[in-house]
Amino acid sequence: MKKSLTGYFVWLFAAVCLYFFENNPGTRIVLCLTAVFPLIPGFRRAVFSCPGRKEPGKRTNSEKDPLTSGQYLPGKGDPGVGVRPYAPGDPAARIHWKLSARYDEILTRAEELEQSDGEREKEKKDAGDGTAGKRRIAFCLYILWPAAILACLLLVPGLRRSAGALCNRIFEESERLNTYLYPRFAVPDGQGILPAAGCLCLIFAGPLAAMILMRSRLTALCFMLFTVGFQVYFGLSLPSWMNAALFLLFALWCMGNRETIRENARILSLAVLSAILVTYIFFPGVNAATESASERARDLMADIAGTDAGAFLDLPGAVSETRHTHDLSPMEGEASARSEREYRPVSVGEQQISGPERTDWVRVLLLVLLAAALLILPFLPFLVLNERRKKVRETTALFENGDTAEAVCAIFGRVIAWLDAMDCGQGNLPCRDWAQGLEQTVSPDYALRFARCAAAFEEAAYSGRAPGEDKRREALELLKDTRNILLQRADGFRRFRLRYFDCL
Amino acid sequence: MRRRLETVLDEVEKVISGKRETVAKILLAFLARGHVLLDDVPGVGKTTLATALSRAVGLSCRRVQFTPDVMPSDLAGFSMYDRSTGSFVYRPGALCGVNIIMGDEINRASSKTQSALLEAMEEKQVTVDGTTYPLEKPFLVIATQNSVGAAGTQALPYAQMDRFLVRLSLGYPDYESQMTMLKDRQGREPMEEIRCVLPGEEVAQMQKEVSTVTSSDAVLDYITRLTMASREHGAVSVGISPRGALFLDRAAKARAWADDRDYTVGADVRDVFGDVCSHRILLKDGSGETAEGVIKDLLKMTESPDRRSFSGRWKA
Repeated sequence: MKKSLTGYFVWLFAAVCLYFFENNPGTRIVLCLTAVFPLIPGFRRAVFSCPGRKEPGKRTNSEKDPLTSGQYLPGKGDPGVGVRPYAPGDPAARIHWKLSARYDEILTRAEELEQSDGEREKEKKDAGDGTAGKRRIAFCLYILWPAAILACLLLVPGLRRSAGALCNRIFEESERLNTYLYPRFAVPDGQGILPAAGCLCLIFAGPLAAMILMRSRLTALCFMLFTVGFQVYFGLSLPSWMNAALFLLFALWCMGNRETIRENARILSLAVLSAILVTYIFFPGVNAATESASERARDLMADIAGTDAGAFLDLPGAVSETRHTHDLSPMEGEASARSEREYRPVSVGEQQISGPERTDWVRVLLLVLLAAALLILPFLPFLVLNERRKKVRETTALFENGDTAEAVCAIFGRVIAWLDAMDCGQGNLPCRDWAQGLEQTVSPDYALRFARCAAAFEEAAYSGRAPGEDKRREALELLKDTRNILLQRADGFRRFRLRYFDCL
Repeated sequence: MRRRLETVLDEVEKVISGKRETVAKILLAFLARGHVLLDDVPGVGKTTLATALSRAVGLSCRRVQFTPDVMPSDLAGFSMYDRSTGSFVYRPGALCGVNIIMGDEINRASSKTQSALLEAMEEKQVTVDGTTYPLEKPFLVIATQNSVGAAGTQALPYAQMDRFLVRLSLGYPDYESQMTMLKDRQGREPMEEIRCVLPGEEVAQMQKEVSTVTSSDAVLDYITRLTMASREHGAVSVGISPRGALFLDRAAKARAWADDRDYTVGADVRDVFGDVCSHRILLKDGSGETAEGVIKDLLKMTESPDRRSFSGRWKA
């Protein structure tokens, strides 16, 4: 596994542990934020990429062009590059008189052989130390810094109280939103939730299957969008820990190793998405527990107040005096968490409450995205199938091409694609050199035929002459055999993938 | 490998055993009209190899021992005043009138002498006092150099390094080869037994044939990508020159010809890339890389033209 991913997993594990240990929303926010950190491109590069690696094509001003400045010979540069201080025993011819005169100290030309043995080793070690140093800094930034802030939040009394206040505030906001959302879901008593839950599961099954089959990061993103969209739209959500786990899963799925611009853009968008998700998990507070608690409270209030409940309607923002006492000690764990959730009834008769006047643009945007995704989803399998059919038609057309050169190239390319898919490939090596490796991985007989075909391919690709029909037939036979041999080797699922996705 | 080349290799093997591949490479460089730089520690048979080769191909050969006081006029010749006619007479130097120049320990020569070699190597001509004299055809320089750092040597200027088609090194022989070598020299001198198996005219003919080998656009594209990648490599301060790219193409052609083809393929370029280009790469100070490592890197990260040709003929 890549080092960067390992680091991420370690931190993730720690974060998840802390998450369950510390049941306080404020702390959880901080935890989630730290989990989002590695998804921000600049930060990720700073932490994980090797600082010793140089960007190709960039030459700093301090490095002079050796051709124009004539400095590329050892012994002509600054002291320290090609010379060393004089040591007793150095031959006089080796003394660099010019530099000695300039630096007022006798300097000896360093021999390149010496450098290649001793100094280069040392340089390598130095470079290694530099990397290790930067790693250490990265570790401090990444692990110790969030940990220190967490510790402060938990241990410093003032901060703890402030965190408590923050939590109160969050719950107020969440309750306000609840009062807005709740009337949208007026249902008769005794309505079963199973059909709807089943439908939801079915919806997720499609993208999930696609994600597994196609290993597409885009699908993961779509899936994530769904999770967010549904929760926001229906106002009921999974427990927040489940949410966090889900989005981290997607995040990991989407995290690439390549440092390309596109990759970074994808990760950046992901970070934005996760930020939205975090906001929606914690600020509305619409998890199931809250939901049921406020429902209970509403019933209670209705019992007490009877039909006069409508009088509360005038209360602006529906909540005003809710206060919770928070003790942020982690020791109390679940018990304290439960006590936080005993909400005071916030308002009654929500059935008649109309929504706020202003439009919730975030909500609208998410709904639009959701609708678009829902529209595309049913057609996705057809799109994939269609694409496949088109590709098959194109390649077979190439095989039958009147120009035998193109045909042989295409057929041979397909053979290589098959070998690559079954890990018998040898990457960037010229095809004529593949035969050796194939002798071991496939069979000597096959390697022989492959070598013959490779020669035909080379002629077709490079000579500008069209090979004969027999070459095309031979190549087609090789392709057929390759298919058969490799399909025999593959096990069930692999065979399915080979046949329908990797090689057409 | 073509039959005629094999016979030359057999002859040379009488003197140097176990270095067949290196000898083949030198021969191919010769066919590609390029010069050869042999780079090694003293005593592994660089000079013996060059002498044996020149005997086997039946070309005239002259050996020039480079020392710090060999002058440019020793190589290119000089004009002398003739009192009887009252005019200047040109006296040819060591480079004139021979096919193969064996420059021994070229990196011990002073820089002005080395620069006198530049014109001879590139344009196959020498200029003395404003008059240009063409050199013999074919003209080949096999230069040997001791590893830089040995006493009294200096690194060759980059411009001169660039003019050698390939840089090769022999390395120490293995156990069997050294035993053979010692046994062969018991009471006789194998160098005497080398016959000329490839007359000079045929060499010229072969050179002509090599130059008719064609390189398709796919191969030229590969060469260009390789050389450009070398200029952008992180550990490299001076990458492969356009001349290097030209030489790479020529060496690949010779290789293809030796393989009985009249077109080059990607594998040809790949095979000769290390020998042709490792001395053209100038590494940054303290990059901790070797030229060989960079070469490997470049070959690894540059997509082979084979892979680009799968969807039919290569198109730009």
